[in-house]
Amino acid sequence: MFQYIARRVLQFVPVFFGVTLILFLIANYLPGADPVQLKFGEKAIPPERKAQIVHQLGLDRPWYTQYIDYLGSLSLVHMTYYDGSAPATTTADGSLTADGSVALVVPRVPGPVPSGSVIIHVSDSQIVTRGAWGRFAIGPLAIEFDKPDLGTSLATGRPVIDILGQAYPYTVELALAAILLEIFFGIGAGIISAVKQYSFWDILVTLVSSVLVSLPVFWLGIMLQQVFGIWLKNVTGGAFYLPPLFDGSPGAKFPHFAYLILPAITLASVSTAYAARIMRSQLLEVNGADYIRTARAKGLSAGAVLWKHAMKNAMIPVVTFIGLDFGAMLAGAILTETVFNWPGIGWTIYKAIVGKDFPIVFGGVTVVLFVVMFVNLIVDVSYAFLDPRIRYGGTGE
Amino acid sequence: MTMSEHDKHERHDERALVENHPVRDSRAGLPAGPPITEELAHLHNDAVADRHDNDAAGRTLWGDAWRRLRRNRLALIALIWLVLMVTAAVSADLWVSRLFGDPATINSATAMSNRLLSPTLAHPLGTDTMGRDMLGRLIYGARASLTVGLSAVVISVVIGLLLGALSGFYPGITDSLIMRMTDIFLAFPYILFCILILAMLPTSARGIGPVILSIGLLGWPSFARLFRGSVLSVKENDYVDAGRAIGASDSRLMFRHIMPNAIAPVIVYATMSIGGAILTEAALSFLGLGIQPPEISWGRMITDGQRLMDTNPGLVFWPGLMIILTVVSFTLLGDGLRDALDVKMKD
Repeated sequence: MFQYIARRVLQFVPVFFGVTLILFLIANYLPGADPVQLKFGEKAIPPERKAQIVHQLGLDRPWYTQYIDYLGSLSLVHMTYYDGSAPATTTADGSLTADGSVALVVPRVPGPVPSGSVIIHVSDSQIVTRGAWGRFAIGPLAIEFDKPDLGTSLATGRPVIDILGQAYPYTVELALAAILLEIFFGIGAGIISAVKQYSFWDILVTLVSSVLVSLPVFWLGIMLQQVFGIWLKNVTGGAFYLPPLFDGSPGAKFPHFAYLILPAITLASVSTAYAARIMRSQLLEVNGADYIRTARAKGLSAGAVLWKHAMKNAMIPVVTFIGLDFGAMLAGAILTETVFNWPGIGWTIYKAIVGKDFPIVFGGVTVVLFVVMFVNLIVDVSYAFLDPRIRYGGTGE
Repeated sequence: MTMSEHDKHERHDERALVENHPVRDSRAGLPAGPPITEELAHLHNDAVADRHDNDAAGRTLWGDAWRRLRRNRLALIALIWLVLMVTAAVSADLWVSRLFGDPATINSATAMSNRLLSPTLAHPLGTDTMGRDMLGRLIYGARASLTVGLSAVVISVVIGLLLGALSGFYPGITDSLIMRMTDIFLAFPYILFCILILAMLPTSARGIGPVILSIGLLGWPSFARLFRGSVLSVKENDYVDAGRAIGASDSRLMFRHIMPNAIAPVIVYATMSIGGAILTEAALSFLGLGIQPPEISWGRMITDGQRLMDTNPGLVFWPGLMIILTVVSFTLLGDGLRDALDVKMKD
């Protein structure tokens, strides 16, 4: 089991560096994302000014140095080589370019100024210092704990991580609602479908799930709004239609959960269909196994065979699937949130795409990718605990 | 193989396939990536190779497959629908604008008088906000969707076959490197990277080309794994050893002996993936990152129709229905091919 877990974790290392490297390359080498141009908007930049900014942002350094810096900015622990002899200096355009700002509180350590001093953070209007969660120094190293630094919004100048942090609870709420629907309806439909194989219900579940997995989700969301928000307006009293942005505002007539129903159904739709399919095929497969025949031969009731014997084995892949899916939902549902104006992380990313606020798009996708990667890792590792074959020493392969 | 081992493989098999299902990537939730492990891909292709050996009695694999496919009613209906769509999309320039008026350009003289017409004989599905015929727009939308779906999958398949073949044929460092690369690309839902790349492109550079490239270039890892697994199992066959013994070169072994016997799962998966790529394109266009007006795409039609949904639900309903029918057709055709080619894969 530990061998299995160790291997999963080890496999994660190259994945992590690969994904961050790709992100780094996109951020620095795609035309639209050129950080120098972003400072200027659509305006043309005079060449000497450009060179100045390139130097200031440290973009003239070798790519691997920049990549390591990028990793550092994403981390919760920031280490800076600190040399206190040079105080923070302000340049002509008002940005701070010294190695000092980070360590202002850290006891200063005497020594020469290293060449290529670290720029802590530069933006046109404000200086975001790091170390809000605490900092200490070991010799010339300043070690700080803080939120990852994802830059600041072009539109508002707020730190991207704060904007995303504000949106995140909505995404979590929606994901929880959707995953509950998925567990209940997905597993339920799968069991019915398998127990009554080839019955009317089985055929219905199979048909509906085939259509659901081919649906464009955003279309489903819009159609649900149309049916329940507009055609059935008199029945529902206009509930299910108002976007939650109005929640708590004078327009909101219903308790919060009412606004959650349609987005949750939309988000859950496709994965519920998959969960039902997996549940069905797993149960059917397990039902053919020898130990189930033995249990039946011993005279156990159908219910006991199903719940005590068959489900135990059949559930493992379903639980894994739902776990991975929950990770995906926690990562934010751009399409669902966009259709319903649900102010989570996906909607925030969409707004930023429309408003060309690249730091938010980039920071948002980065956060989403990290959530997906880590949840996948957790689910992979927990597989070791779920599956007794791995728990008792197997490798699972 | 003992029962418990068999069971274990099946379970992994199932999980791998579910995670790897092509359509899954495009749903709203931006799902988790499909980390099918190479060992598993290998396992579920063992059966493929075995059966192919038994099949080889006189008739060709493809002849057999076609015979079986013809008996599958659902797959046949799907195939007919797809053929109709392709025909309509390819020949659209010849007849659509004559029958319904040019669906891409706005005719300022008639735009206002013709806007949002109810269905009539002249406009079977009515007109949109700019007085353009809906049916004509749907047919041109099919052209965009099919182009993206087919081209993106072709790109993915070509890269996937190449890397999968290298990986399966040359164990060791080549294999490890390529497989670590697939790990990286499968670690996240690729639609996210499509969104990121397309959002970072200047607006003027957006369009059908970048959409095809981003979907195609990010979709290869599943094909690489699948084909690697096939190659690994086919490689063990005696006829490959025999070929090597009489001095066949690596490329001859690959293209003449291994490839024809290892390609079936890739074909099945590719067919299903076209539906996934079409869904992804629709989603990207819906978000405004995909095909840009005046080019017509179903996803974009849904975005545009959303505002007028309460009075004219058809503006959103029809493009969505087209997407569903097309994606379901590719899935059904893929299912049919799977059975016809006798590839062991589960849904």
